[in-house]
Amino acid sequence: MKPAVAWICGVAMIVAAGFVAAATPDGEQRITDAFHTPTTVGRLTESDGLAVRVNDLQLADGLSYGGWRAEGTWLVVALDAWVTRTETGGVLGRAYLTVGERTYLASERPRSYDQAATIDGFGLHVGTPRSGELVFELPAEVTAAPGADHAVLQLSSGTALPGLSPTENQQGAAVIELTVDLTTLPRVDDHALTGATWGTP
Amino acid sequence: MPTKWFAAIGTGLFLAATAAFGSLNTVAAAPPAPLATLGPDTTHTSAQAAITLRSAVLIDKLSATRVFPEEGERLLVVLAEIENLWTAPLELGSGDGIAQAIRLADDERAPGGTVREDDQTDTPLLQPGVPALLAFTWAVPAARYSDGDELTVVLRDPSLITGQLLYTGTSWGNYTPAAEVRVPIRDAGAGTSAATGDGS
Repeated sequence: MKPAVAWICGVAMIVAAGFVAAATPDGEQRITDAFHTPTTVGRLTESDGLAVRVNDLQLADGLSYGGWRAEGTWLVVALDAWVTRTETGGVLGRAYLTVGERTYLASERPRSYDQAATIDGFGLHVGTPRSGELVFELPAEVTAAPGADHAVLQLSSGTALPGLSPTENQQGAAVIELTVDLTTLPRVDDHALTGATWGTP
Repeated sequence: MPTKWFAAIGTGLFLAATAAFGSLNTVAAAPPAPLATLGPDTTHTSAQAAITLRSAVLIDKLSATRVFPEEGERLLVVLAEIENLWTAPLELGSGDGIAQAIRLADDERAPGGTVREDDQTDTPLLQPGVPALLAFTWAVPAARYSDGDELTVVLRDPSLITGQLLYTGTSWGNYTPAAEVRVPIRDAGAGTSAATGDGS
């Protein structure tokens, strides 16, 4: 091979390597990115051992369960959920709602009064659905906030560590995502939580 | 080229520069700027949260605060409203939680207990943009404070720490004093029910 041809081949290979490097999504970062699975209301969706069917969403200006009661602006998500492989870590402890730049974690307030108040108080079971609700405590003016018409509900099993950011908590997790338009949801004055119960398989 | 001079010249320059900057004398620390002094019901805002101190109550015991005084102790309960101004939920409890933002001027300790005033949720998460009235409680020697005393509470602002190399992500930490709030202490006596000590 002539030296000139060798040089041209070498330069071409370096340029090609440059294109490959540019097209590779930011390297190691992608290893721990969450894996997103979209869903819609009423559709059964399974991702990485967690099966979820979101049945209903509504806003409420007050919430109660037994002797517990709280004013405020709440998003109430009614859903069925179960796990398909293992019950270890099978709890809906990482349920986030993002509205614009802000991220909310499902409220622990009802279940710190009574564990059975919301579906995230107990672990999920293999093959046997639990029916219940998740609630998010939101600012009063949330429906007017930027991004309120395409808020995203993100569900994954496991327990959120409060010291870590939502992104860190979702590292490597399978996340079932539902886009919610908060501006068109029905809004009630008061909602009594049904409590977590056994669902119909 | 007499390269062996380089080391001597370099050492000389280093010493000259050190001398120019005051040699090895201890640098006098700048005196800390006096803190802004606020009254109760005045909001102090940091990048992390808006904190409004409401009142301070001295009470014999109040189990809802999750702090149980020992013999010769009473409870000092500071009521503060906190609104999370950050984009993600803030934790109260552990090492760098927002409970670190509230300190007594004459007491090094972090609050012994933090509960919501309304439903007594223990060390609740603070969701973005949702204000919450919280009771911060310390067990204190019974004789230290009395009714009508002025309590000085130090509010401390954190900075946002972005992890590099071994540590990733962002978190709040390094709480440093930013403002003082003077609030009168009200003695609620034995006290039984509300954290406000209304005695009802």
